[in-house]
Amino acid sequence: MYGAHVFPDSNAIGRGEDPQWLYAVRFEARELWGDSAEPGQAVYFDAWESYLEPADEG
Amino acid sequence: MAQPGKSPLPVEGLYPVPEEVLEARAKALASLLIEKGIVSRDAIERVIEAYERDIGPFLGARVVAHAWVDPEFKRRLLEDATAACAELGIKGMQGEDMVCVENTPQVHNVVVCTLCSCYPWPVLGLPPEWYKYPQYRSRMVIEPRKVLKEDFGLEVPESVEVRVWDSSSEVRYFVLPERPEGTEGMSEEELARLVTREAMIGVARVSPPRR
Repeated sequence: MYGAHVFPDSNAIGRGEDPQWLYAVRFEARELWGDSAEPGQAVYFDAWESYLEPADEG
Repeated sequence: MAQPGKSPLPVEGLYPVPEEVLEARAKALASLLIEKGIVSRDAIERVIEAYERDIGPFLGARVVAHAWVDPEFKRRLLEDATAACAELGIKGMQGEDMVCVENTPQVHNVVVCTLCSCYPWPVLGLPPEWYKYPQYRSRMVIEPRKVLKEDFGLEVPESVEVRVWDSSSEVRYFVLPERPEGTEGMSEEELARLVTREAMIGVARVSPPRR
């Protein structure tokens, strides 16, 4: 978690900075690319809080 | 300065556009901005001069070498790269929120911007051409091992995890490469000369000094 950052989706269209929490989210390559993924790979993607949804439990 | 690493060739066809076209476009934009009084020629000259002379990967190399010799500084760098770089007087545009990720025998990090060409200017200067190619930006997240091997000649063993950092926000990433063996007796200045731009993007390792 990187603290609060200006939300580009609103700032870019003149609706203000609307700062939100920013997270570095880790995805395993298999979650993104399925069976064609390379082994032992992960992608870190920075996402503002409103991009995220709660994951299903278990 | 250390030797530049291998760079992938641009793919023929749609992109990138030839340099003459880009140059003409930049000149047209500059003369328009100057004519309309939006920027002065002096201001443009100063920015070009700064990025040609004062700002470049040699600054990042100083940070890396300092982290190699000073474990306390390394700890601060990995915790808050912006503050740690500022300790060395290194800061500025496109480096307001920097994060440094450490390569280890278990983890290899590499940086990409899938959106455009976000890059930590204060430590690395302006990005190399290939960093902006759609081929690099799309393939690096999907098949980093293949890209590293085929385009950069860097083989990452299967036992080493590859972490791809996509600069999708204002956070700017750079890599703390592993210190090569055989450099135990070297001074910080000598170490800094070994560190390449490519190693700090994560598409190369730092090579030990040539005997």
